[in-house]
Amino acid sequence: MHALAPTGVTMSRSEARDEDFASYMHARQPSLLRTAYLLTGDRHTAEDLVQTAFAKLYLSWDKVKDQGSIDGYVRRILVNENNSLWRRAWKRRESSTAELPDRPHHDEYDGGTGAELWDLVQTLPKKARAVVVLRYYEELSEAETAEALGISVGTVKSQASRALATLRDRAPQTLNPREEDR
Amino acid sequence: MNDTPQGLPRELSRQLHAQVDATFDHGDGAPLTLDDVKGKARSIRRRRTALAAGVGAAAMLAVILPAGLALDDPGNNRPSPAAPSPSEAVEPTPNPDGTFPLTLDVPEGEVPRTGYIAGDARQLVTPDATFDLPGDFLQIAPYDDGWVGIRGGGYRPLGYQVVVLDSDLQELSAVSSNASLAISADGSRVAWVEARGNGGDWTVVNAPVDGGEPMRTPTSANAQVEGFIAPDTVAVSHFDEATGDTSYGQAGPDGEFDAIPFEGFQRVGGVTEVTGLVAGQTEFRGDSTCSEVRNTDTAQPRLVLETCDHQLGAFSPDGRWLIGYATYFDLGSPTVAILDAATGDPVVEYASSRKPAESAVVMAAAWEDDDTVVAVVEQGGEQAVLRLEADGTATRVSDVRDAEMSIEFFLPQHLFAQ
Repeated sequence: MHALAPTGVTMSRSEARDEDFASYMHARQPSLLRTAYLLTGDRHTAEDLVQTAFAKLYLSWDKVKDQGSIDGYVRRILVNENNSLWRRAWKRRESSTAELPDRPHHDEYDGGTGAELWDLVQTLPKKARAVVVLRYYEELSEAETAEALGISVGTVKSQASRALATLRDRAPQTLNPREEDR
Repeated sequence: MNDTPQGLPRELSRQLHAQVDATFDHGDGAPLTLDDVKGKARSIRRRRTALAAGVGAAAMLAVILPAGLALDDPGNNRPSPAAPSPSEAVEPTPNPDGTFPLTLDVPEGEVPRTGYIAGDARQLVTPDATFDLPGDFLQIAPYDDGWVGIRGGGYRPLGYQVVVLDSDLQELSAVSSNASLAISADGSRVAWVEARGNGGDWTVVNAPVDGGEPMRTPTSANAQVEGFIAPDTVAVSHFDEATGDTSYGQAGPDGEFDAIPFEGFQRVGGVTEVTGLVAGQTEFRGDSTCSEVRNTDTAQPRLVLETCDHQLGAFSPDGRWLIGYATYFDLGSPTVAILDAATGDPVVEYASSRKPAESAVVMAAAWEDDDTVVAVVEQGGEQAVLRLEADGTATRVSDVRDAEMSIEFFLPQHLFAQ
């Protein structure tokens, strides 16, 4: 039951909630979409991933908002859902793209040798790739990365170390400045 | 290799940013509308049983009435229209696996002694009467011959106010707060976090419910009271937005924060001053969790139990039992159990049917007394409060309301979230 003021402008609780959520979504969507793209390597899949993450956040909005941990929560959903997408390949066949505005893809970045490194990142196991994206794109600390992935700081360190070792082994010499790393 | 961004890590960072810049135009990247997201949310809800998981982290509310506490009779009360008439008792029939069915299709029972808040109706429903509330209250507890409650509604800076009300539920004062309110097991003290001045001075307030002088401990805006760990001491969590870490302290009678042996807890589900125990999640495994119960003796911290079978919630008023939820869920728990707080063994467990059309989830749960749980349960787009007893007897103790991704009822404690 919602009591309207004489002017009729008083928002119901659900309307206020939606407005609050929409404001957050508007502010964070570009950033999350970019992270999702790096996690998935495909823009349409990234959009689907972000849509699912926001939907789950929407369902839990009141509680998460109360806890003051919205960014961490939605980032965790994003990563977990991506892993889940990989585990359940059928889900990738779900087409949510029809509901989204069509736009050209730019997945083939012609960045010279850098593109080779991007190609290699896409070959990493999903959890290692998530560590790489959070640490070296989002520039989260090891503790923040651990929180986002729900793993220990030690696991973050070991995953990052193994990911870098894998990239070194596979990368061309021009991208492999071993001496600088040490 | 060290953590400095040089060498391969530096090149990696540069190339990841370059890849993003090459893929997205400046200002690009907001293709989703609120309607897109709400549509997806609806489909997730429809699918949740098929995914064998449930639910959700919902914000909790709460009428915090210690068991047996007599309610005053505010002037705006009327007989509880929401209170169903008790039906004849039905012998509970367990499922083949020993659990009992979690469903709204149960006999009606009396309104719980703790009462509950009917959110959209802005009403406090008690066994004796239903009271109109002055706003969207999430929690309310007896205080100083009246009431103290948490009211939501977009108040700056955190969206909530702590409101002191007289016995007629007329507002006496309101200051900025957050959504947390705790009451001691014996009902003698209540605690909250409030801000005085222009959002600056945040304080943990630990007050006797008889209106005596409160104890105040300075804190930060991101502090929440988790519960009483001693008759005069409140456990407080601090969320650090910069690091994403949560730390814990205790606000005692000396007005200072002291260390508290909560290291390793990702989320606190319950605290009890009766036995000095804390329960909470310690590990997240992607599709499951592990939790622990520890004592809070700073001199001799001790692990009581660990389990990966349930997420742990509130302790019973006598400290003997714990509420247990499914080990992992994202839209509401498909199971709820009463666990032995010393061993983690289930005394009774209620579980949703795996048939999608019959799926039910617990949105929140709290203790009515030492042996009985009340829970907000959603099934088939409808929501109601159920009383769940240790012998498997379930009764519906509220009316049934349509629920559209919303919390229609608020109980005396939190269901936590994930």
